Amino acid sequence: MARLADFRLIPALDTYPKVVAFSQKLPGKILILALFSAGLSFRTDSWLHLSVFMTAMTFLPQFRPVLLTIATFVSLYLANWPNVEIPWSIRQQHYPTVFFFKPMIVVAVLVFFAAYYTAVRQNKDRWYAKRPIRNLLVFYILLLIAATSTPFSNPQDVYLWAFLAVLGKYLWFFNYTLLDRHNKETPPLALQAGYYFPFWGGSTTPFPKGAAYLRKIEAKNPEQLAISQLKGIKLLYWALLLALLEKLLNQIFYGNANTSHAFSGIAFSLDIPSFHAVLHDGAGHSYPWYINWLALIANFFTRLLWFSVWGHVIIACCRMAGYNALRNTYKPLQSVSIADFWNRFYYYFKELLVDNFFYPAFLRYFKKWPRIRLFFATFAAAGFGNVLYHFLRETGNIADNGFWPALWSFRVYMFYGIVLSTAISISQLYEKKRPTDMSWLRKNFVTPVFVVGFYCILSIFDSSDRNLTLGDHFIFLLKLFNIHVS
Amino acid sequence: MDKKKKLKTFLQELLADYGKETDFGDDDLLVTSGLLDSLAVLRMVVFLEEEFGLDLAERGFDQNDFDSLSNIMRLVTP
Repeated sequence: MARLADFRLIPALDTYPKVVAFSQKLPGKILILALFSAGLSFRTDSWLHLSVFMTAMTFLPQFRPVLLTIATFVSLYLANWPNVEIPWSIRQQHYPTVFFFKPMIVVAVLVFFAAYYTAVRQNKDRWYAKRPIRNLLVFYILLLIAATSTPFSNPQDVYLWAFLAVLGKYLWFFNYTLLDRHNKETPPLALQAGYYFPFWGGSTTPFPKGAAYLRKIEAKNPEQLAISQLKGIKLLYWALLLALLEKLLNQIFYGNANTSHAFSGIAFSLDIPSFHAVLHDGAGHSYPWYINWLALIANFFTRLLWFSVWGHVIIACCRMAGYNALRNTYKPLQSVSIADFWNRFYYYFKELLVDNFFYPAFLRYFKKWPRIRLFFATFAAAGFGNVLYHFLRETGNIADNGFWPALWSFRVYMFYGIVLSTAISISQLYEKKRPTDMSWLRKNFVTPVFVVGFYCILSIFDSSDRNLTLGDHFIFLLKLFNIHVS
Repeated sequence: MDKKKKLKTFLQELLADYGKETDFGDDDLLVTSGLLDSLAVLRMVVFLEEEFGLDLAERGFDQNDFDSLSNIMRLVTP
């Protein structure tokens, strides 16, 4: 049994001294880079230029921060810069066609932040320097409200919206820079631009956290670099295996309905309808209750797999560049509590919420009431911060529909945030009381089934479709139990 | 018991609660390495508030300050 528990599909290469020693020599480095590039070519069309960056950072580690900055800007250029969501009404008439429009907006946003950051650091006693992250968020929200309050008529509006859209994408990277402003590990601001949308990928959530954190996890010598890169290879090939499993499951669950993910050569399929189809089945009579369950469960697990693969590839590239970051998703199906799953599923988003909302709330409020203190701080992060992050991410929705209608369209996600933060709070409060001597069956099966089951059902309310009402989601929830409400 | 001993004992108990090896060096990274998570940092904050009267609200919070015994010692040593 112990041998079975120790079995690894991909060997722990980073723990073998001979492999680590070989990886520090020229042939070892070339072999590692070749293996990684070969694996990466199965996942992304950008594998070649990513490999070039990683090769440069492998052979010139002393210039890593500068190379990272160059690689990040080259990647942004090759990816045609961040997507700029501008209201459709002005986009059609006034969208500039000059090639330097997007880089110009990016530069304007970076210059704006550099000015704010410098002011915050140099004038520590001024009001805007006291709570700089909150102030930046409030400033951004006020700009959004102001921009949506006036009708779009001038060609200049397009520049304002482009600025807002790009600032929204950089917002959480900037917040990490502000958080790190007292940290001795923080590099100069000019070099921090390399950490904003780094070349290894990610989203508006910084992977992995800010510049000070990256400095800390950076390989300091050839041995650490070899270990980091071996961990990167392991994670990439694990991601490739998971991607195969994802394709296989998509074939079995959905068949040809989802051809982009189908697993060729296998004809068998359960032909489960998509979650989108069952959720939008307003009349409620098209699918029996058990098909609704199947659609929900299949959607949850395929999304979980897709998400794991996505995060693993990003972190694998980050490790290859010499930054030994923790995984984004770590064995979520082994979670022993609701708080534990939240920690394992999307680590860097959870860290963003913890750093920007949880700790500030925890350190300031309800110090004399430990339970309320924990509850309030969790609510600030998993509830308020979570909803705010997702709302501000949808600048396209805000631009097209206006600030307040867009906020109203978020009511289902707000409900999701309230339930999630309440559940995590309760889970944290009872964390200490959890028995440590659980039986194998309870620890590895019963508890994870309850935890994953909770998140699976809650995922009904995590839909990105902003047109459905809370009632529509509850009607679907009832249909799972064969209760039909018209 | 001096501050460092108190802190070390507390961190060892914390690591034991997380089912991790309790032997660690002063500069070993406990959070960045994944041994402890943000909930553990929270327990450290409460411990420092209760034991040493530390108030981090005004000072500003940096998770890095809680990453190793040496870093925490810098927080509690004036």
